[in-house]
Amino acid sequence: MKILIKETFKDDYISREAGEELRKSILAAINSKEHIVLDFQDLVIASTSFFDESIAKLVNENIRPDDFKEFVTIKDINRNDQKVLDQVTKYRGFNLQELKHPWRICPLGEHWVKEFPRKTSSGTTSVEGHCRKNPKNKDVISADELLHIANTHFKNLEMLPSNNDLKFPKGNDYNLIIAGWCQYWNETLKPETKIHPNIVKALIATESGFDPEPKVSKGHKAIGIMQLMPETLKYLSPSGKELKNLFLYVDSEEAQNPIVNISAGVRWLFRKYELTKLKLKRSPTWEEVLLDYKGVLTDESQKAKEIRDHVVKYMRALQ
Amino acid sequence: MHLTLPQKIGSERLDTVIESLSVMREVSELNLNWERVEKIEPAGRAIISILIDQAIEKNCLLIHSNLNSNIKKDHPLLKNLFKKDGLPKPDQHFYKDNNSFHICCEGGINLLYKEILTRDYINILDEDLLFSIQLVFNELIQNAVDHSTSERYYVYFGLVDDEVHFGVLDMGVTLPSKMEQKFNAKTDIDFLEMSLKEGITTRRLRSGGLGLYHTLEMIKEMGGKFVFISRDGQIRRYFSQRKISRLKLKSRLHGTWVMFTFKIKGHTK
Repeated sequence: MKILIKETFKDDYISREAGEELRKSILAAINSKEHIVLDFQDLVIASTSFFDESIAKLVNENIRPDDFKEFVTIKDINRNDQKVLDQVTKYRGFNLQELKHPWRICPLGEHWVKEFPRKTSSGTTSVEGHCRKNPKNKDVISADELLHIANTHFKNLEMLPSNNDLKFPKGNDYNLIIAGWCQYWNETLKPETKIHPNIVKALIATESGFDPEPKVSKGHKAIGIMQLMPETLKYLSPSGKELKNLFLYVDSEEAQNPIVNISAGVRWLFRKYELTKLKLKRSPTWEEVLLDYKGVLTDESQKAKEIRDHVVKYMRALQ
Repeated sequence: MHLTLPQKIGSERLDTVIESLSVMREVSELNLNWERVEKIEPAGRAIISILIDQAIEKNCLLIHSNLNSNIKKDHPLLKNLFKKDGLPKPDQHFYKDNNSFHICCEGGINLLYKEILTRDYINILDEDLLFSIQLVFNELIQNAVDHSTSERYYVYFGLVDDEVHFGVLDMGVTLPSKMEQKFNAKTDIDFLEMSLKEGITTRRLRSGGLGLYHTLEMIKEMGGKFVFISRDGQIRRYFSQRKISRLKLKSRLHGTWVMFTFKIKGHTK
């Protein structure tokens, strides 16, 4: 069902009466599990009352934001009307916005830029840290904000990896960072099964032995502690066409830092989860995702078998 | 009874016009002296419409003296003051020039103001300012229709120097009268203050409206001024200075007037 607001409410699209009428139509659609499109084409509503009565007050009808998102599509809404809608729904506790993670500094659709110096004719001044709008309002997290989050919030974490150093000198140096990013991405991406920090720890053991600058052969492009490929960083960015949302702005230099590297690596594991699920045609275990990340999930070669055994050995040691 | 109108009829210096409206409930004849009047601002047109309508409704004969031709052309009804055909029809109040308009609305929500704003001012004012103006208008119009139960309300808009002036005026049930049915307060100023707080509403049907509070929150960064008058109370809020003045009116206003002034600097095209 589609409601063209301009035609349906041509004499009055600002009042509570008009809003109530629209709310009844939305309610009927949701209750009968029918999809409804609210088309605001060529119209500026500019009324808190209309949006409050039509949409925000659905909360009083025991409609949950998830029900609304499942059955209602809002089309061609004016950007200022969207702000009013966001404000009134937030006020009623009928939050249609995806909530930003509490560790994030900036609102959804913006990313953090840390304080930086700016040269002027009279010397150098500092530009204070600030949030900057992302293109297309998608959610993007920058390396600056990843560092801020780790330095501010990575304590009292809910799930730590095993304290086994797997016989590497720095085997336990990154436990908090691993746990922090697993918690952040679990809470942000809400997977069917949460990723356990031991998965990431085992992966790091196989990739770099916990060395942020592992010795590699000439021409080797992989970066840092999780040995991310430059292409992977591009896939995670808004220009990568791999993700739909919740991107990372991280360049190769920034990815050298273990804090940034592990965050990007865990984000990539979550994307790998979706790809492995498509490959297996069922929900994979995180161990299977880890093997797919290593490229050995279905490979029957001797080399692949050796890598699998290696991973399994670390996983067992961490249990 | 004789009253001399001020030099400028607008959202400032309202004592004489409010006194005029108050005395015409008591006397059968009121002489308005226009001698000092030099300018009618957009708000002034709505006020003149109210003076004329109220005089007829209260059976008070208005006698105008020293009304010059320059001022007469500033309001459609001033041209034909001496015709006694009962209450002028809403469209007889209608005024529009290059910088302003004034509409008398009757019998519910009237979106003519939206049509004029989006057609005639879209190339002059930026999208955000036009949106903020509509947001305020929509809230005020609904308040006039729902709360005051007044048959008529008066909508004005105009560009004056570097400001945009707009507002909605009605002569229905006053806000303090409505508020005292539900809340307690010592003075009418307190009632007006209370009505601007979050979560306060006098609405019976579709209760729990967000009220003017949310609208003011959304537009306060526009700067400018807000004048809110009803019964014996008057509140003037200056957004950019974070200043509020609260005054008791010298004469009672049997209605509710809400008038806004926004700076247009930085909001023109």
